[in-house]
Formats: sequence, structure tokens, C-alpha cells
Amino acid sequence: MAREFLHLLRLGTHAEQDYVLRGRSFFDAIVLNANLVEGSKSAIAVLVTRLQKPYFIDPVTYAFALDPRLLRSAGPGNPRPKRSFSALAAAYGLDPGFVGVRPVTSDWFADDGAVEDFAAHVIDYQRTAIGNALADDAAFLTSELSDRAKWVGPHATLAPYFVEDFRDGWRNVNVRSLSTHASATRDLRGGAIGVDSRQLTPQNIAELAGTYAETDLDQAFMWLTNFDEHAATVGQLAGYARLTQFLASQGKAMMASYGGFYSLLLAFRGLAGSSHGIGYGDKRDLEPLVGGGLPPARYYLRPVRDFVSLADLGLVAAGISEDEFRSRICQCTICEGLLREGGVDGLIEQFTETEDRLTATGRVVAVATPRAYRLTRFHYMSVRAEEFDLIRNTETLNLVLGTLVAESRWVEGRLGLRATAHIGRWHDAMEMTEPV
Amino acid sequence: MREAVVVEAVCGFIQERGYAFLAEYPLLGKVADVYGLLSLEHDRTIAIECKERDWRRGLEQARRYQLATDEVFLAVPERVVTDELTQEASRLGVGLLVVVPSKAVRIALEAKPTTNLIPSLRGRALEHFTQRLLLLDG
Repeated sequence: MAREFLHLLRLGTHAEQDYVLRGRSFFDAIVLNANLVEGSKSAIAVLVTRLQKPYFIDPVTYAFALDPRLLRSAGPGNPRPKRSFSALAAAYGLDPGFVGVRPVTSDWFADDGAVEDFAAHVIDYQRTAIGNALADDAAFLTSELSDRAKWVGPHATLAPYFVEDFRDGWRNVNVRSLSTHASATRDLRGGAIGVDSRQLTPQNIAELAGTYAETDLDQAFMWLTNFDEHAATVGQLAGYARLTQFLASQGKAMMASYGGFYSLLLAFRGLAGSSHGIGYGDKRDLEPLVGGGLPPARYYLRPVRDFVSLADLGLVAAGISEDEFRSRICQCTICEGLLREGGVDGLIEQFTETEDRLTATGRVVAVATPRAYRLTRFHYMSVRAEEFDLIRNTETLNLVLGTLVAESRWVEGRLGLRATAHIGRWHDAMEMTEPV
Repeated sequence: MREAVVVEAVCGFIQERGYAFLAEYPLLGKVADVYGLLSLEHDRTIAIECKERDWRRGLEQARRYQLATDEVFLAVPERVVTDELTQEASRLGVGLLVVVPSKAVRIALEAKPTTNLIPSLRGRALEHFTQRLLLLDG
């Protein structure tokens, strides 16, 4: 029997809606950040009803505790708070005057009444944001989409959460939020556990696991901030696996907020699902990088379960036949189409297509064409869907690990150990932990 | 010797040999320090990666350029050259240019034609190159 493992896609920007709609068969449910919802409610609401898939709204309450400069609009000398976060603060029952000026601290929620009021607002927002937007949209009410109204409510609501850094007293606030949520809902008692992965010592893992095991949580997203599966040490990876395993053993359905293939391996340690973005969304730092322009297009190299530069795709694929490409690298819908159109060389040519752009400093740079971006992203979505199916349908972890190690060896011969070293670490970390 | 000095010396070197060239040329999502063409008649393209000391990284970059360029070289200051570097460059078919303290350049190892060359990528790189040269001339 196939293993249950939920495949969630996280919408990063409005521009990604087309990927979500066209690629709707690739995933099970969608995660929407509340600030994105607040930024364009009508468009998101119509997306949800067109998609007809379960959705979650991540309340992103943690953002209000970050450096307030991150909540200001971009641009020098422009201290205005971002409108979406100000509106969100108001919807959460907070005075939006603090947004972009000072961070919230755990002291704000010292008394239980403050936590209850905040949690009630945050949960109500998730329940009603999409429905209210549709109710305000005359075009929706008179359209054929209105018979899809059953999709307007979220799959589950998430209690407000702040990132646990083992210093600022947030754990107490988080646990009380969960408790408030649990007593107020008859539905799934959902939450999110955000943890600064840089503080994830064995002792902190044990503390966290013990604390959250005692809550009334049914289902929760787990976000290890600043955690890169491909760079993490065996100890860090094993710590993540142990935390997952312990919480799963206590009946908590944990899902990775941001996860790559390692999070899929954790299905064998009790993880119930994993979420990722359309481009680089398999990890997220606590404080996002700001600026820097469009990230380069990259190719998700299936045998090593990682992104590589498009030049590296060329190195891996140079000189091999179409059949070898299919068996060793990829035979997803996108790659298959390109192979049929122009063989391996044609595929490389399409993925590496660039156009010249003038930078703000007057330099000419070559950037991937919009078509190359689309190809790399649909390829990624397609391969990820295959990966979830692999995890659901493979009986034992050893079978998955065996295939993974064998497939990556061939790439190692072409790109060197730098492209495959993480696979050995994943293998070792999984071997250090036991199934639930 | 700083990388900028290596680049400058290499530019002078290939100019003397009749190459039209551009520095910091975007190639396959990376930026080649120098990319050039030995006249339309000869139709030979060259890419050169310059490094102050990290030759392993330089060779890694240079390998990628082999997908789209006829000849690929790594250029390094003389003090960086070791047997290990020469052997590794030879194995990969990457040529080696050595910049001596007087900023003169000598060819320590010729580049070999590689099996990695993808004609359509080479053609595209060359087309962009000629367009850019025309723009600069224009």
C-alpha cells in the first residue's frame, strides 16, 4: 500500500500563479503566505477557487518579531512600512503603528488574554480571508467559479507562531497559542514550529520535542530556519530526523515548511508531508536576502537531488545519447519533449538560452530568457512530483538510499564530489536514526 | 600578482596574436574573464579563465567553457604553477597560460580540442560576441 505523504507547493510571488495552475497535477495542496494573500486578496482568492485544491494560509506572524527594517518598502530613504504587513497587523488585532518601526517581543503576550485575542484574530483571518475577498468580488459572484465555493475555506488553520531561538521566551507564547487554538476549534488543530536551526543542539532538540509533544497539536509545519539540507552536517541532519521521529511517535503529523529530497527521506521517520517553492523554495532563512536581482536559472539534477548551474548541466550531459540522458538524468515531460525536438544538444541549448540585459550600472549581462526560466521551473515541478511518488511507493528506506547512491555515482564522475557529497551525509544521518 | 593584472596581461597577449576579444564575457551563465575570436577567416574561439591562486576553481570554470569554445585556457601567475596543476589541466584538455612577474605571458600547455563542444552553444556564444563587438564599434 502506498505511503501517505502530502506534497505541498508554496506560492512565492503572484508571478508564480501560472506555474501553479498549469502544474496543478504535480502537487496535492498549496501554502499561501498571509502577506501575499493580504497583498492581493482577490487574485489569490480566484486562484484558490480555480485550483480546487486544499490550501493553508501561513500566518507568518514570526515576521513581526524580525528586524523591523525587513517590513519596510524597498528603496533608499523610504521608511514606509509595507502595506501588506500593516494591513495584516491590523487584521491580527495589533496596532499597525509598530510595523517597520519596532519588533514585537514576547512581553507583548505576557498575559493570557493577549495571546487569546491575538490567536483568535490570526485564526479568524485564515478562515475568512479568501471568502471575504470573494464576497466582495462581484465578478466572482456572477461567474461560473462561484459553484466552487467549497474551496474557499483552508484545509486547516495554524496557530500564530514565532521562531524559537531558545532565548527570547517565544516558546511559552507559541505553546499558549497552540493551546488557545486547540480549545477554540473542532477541526484539525494545526500549527507551525519555527526553529533557528543554528541553535539546534541535542539538548535543545530534546527540550523542543518534549514541549511540543505535550501540546494538543494534530498537524504542524516545521520550519528549520537557515537550514540547507545540502550543506548540513550529518549531526544536524540526524537531529532534524530525531525531532521529526519523536514528534511523529507522539501522534503529531509534521510537515516540512521548506524541504528538498532529504525531507522526503524523512517520510521514513514519520514526516507527513513537505512543502517547497517553485524555484529555490526548498529552504528559507529567517531573514530573507533582500535585493540582488533575479536569481540565475538553475537545473534540478534528479540523480543528485539538487540544483546545478546550467553550465554544469552541459558538463553532465555532454556526449551522451538521448537514451542515456533519459536513464541517467531525466525523462520528465519537459526533458522528454526537448529531447524529441532536438536531442541532447538541443535540450542543453534550450535550457541555457540567454538574452542580454543592461544593468543599473550600465553593464551588459546575459540572463536566462523567460522561456529558459519556465522550462527549468516546470522541469523542477515535474521531477518533484516524481520524487513524492517514489517515496510514497517504495517500501523501504534502503531501496531509496541504494538507488540514490548508485545514481549519484555517475554524476560524481562528471562533476566531482562537490556535486554529490550531500548524498553520503543524508545516507549516514538516516542510518543514525530509527523508524517511528 | 592580483587577478586583474593576470587579466590585463592575457588581454595584451591575445591581442598581439590577432584575436578580437572581450573581457568579462557572459558564457553559459558564468562570466569568462576573456573570450576572443581569431579573425572570422580562422574562426577559432578562445575562452580564458584567470585566477590569482585558486587554480582548481579556475579549471572547474574552464571545463564549462569547453561546451561552447574551441580552445579554453587557464591563466595563472608563475608562482602558482605546480606539476599537479599542469597534469590536471592536461587531463582536462585545458591549456595553461603563465604570467611571469614582468607581465609577459607564455604558453605552458596547449589547449586540446574537447569532446564536450556543443556546436549550437558555440554558435550562440560567437553570435553574441560579434553582436557585442558591433555595438561597441558602432
